[in-house]
Amino acid sequence: MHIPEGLIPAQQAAAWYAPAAAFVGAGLVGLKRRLAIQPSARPLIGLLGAFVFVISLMPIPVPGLGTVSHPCGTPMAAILLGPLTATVLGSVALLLQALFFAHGGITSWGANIISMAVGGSFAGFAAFRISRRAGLGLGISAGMAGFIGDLVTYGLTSLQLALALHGDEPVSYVWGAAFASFLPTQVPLAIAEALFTAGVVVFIANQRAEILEGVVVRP
Amino acid sequence: MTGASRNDDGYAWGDSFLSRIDPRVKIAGVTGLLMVNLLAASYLVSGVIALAMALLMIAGRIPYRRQLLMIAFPATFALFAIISQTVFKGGEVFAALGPFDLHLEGFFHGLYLSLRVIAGGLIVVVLGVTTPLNRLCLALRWFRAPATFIEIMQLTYRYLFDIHAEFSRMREAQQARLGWSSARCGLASSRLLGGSLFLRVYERGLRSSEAMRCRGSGPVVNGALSRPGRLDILAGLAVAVFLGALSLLALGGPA
Repeated sequence: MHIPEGLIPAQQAAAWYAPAAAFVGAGLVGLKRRLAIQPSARPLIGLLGAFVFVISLMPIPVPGLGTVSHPCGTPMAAILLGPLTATVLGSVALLLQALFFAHGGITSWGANIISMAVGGSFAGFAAFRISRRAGLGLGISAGMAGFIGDLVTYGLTSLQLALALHGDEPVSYVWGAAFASFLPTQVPLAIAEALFTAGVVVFIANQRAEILEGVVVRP
Repeated sequence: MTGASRNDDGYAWGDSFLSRIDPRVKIAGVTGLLMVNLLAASYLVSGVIALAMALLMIAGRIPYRRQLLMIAFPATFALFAIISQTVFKGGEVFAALGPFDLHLEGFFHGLYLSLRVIAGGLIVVVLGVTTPLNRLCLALRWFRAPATFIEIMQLTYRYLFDIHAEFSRMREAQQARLGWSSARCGLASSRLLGGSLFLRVYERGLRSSEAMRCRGSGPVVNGALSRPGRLDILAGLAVAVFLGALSLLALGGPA
């Protein structure tokens, strides 16, 4: 779920912007280098950016909380392009969603980048690598990436909301309450994202294995 | 989804005074308004901003259905803010809901937050709906946004339309062949659809990318914005006056 414009206080918005800028900056440097060496990578990058946009724009209402949750798409992008590039794609998708659908915001962009783009990409990528190193199959590893990346994103979003809205209660209590409220919708969504990520990655491996060549698929 | 984007761009290209304003002026104005909205900590300031943005959207003839659709997401969060603050922020207890005490001070703080969320959402909506993406990208380049970021933004936007076109075609074909007749069948179809969609759009993208390179098209955003005209200067002045008035309100008005 994207945090909307105006919900988090200015100091916290600035604090989330700093690490987000570092991750996106590092991703852009790598991406610029990659595009200079391999201009034909553009279609794959643009396509995955659009996939992340579409997948993370499917709002599912969270009962009793008055908000929505959705799958992320960044774990799949991280498997295919690496976590830093996936972070850039996530940030682009978040900016476009904020501008054209008011889904997210400009001052909350940094916080959303950290939860969905950075958290989803890096956690999904780590889950994928660990699963592959443990000898699990491509589909199961990709599924793990989708599942873990999705849940980590929601854990981080719940933390951001808890920090912004905890009022007089301890942050840990509000964090737990927010995360628990998301679980009834988020666990099925994480399973759906796992199935989708696994399905797409296996399909690509079977049909066009060269897309995955040189990518971090092998253990 | 992408149909809505197309509508947005359709509106943004339309002949409205909001669409004609230089995107650099809009970006500067929006940045100022977002800052004031966030920093003022005042019901009045957020309320005035929300009202002004709503009037601007009406004056700019942005379709009502589009306005309501776009404000739906911030509105759900406004509700979330009221609920969370009423429960978590202390003060006088006015009722109880199961194990939770409901606090009056928290309720009013939640109301303020919800107003801030709605005002912020409306500011961003006005910018997004009235500015075509390519002009927005040119303005962002003028503000020294990284060229690679802008390029990825344009690529992503372009592929959204390719995905939409291929998705509609493939889903219709699957439905015609009873690919969604049961939950089990639907799951298998969705995975096949996701994978095939990916590959088809990718191949289409590769072909057009090759063709563009053959024609000598470069990756960096092309074109330049014209010099600001009278309308842009007037708009800039109006925003500056409005921001000044809001700052005075924030400093001297009720919290």
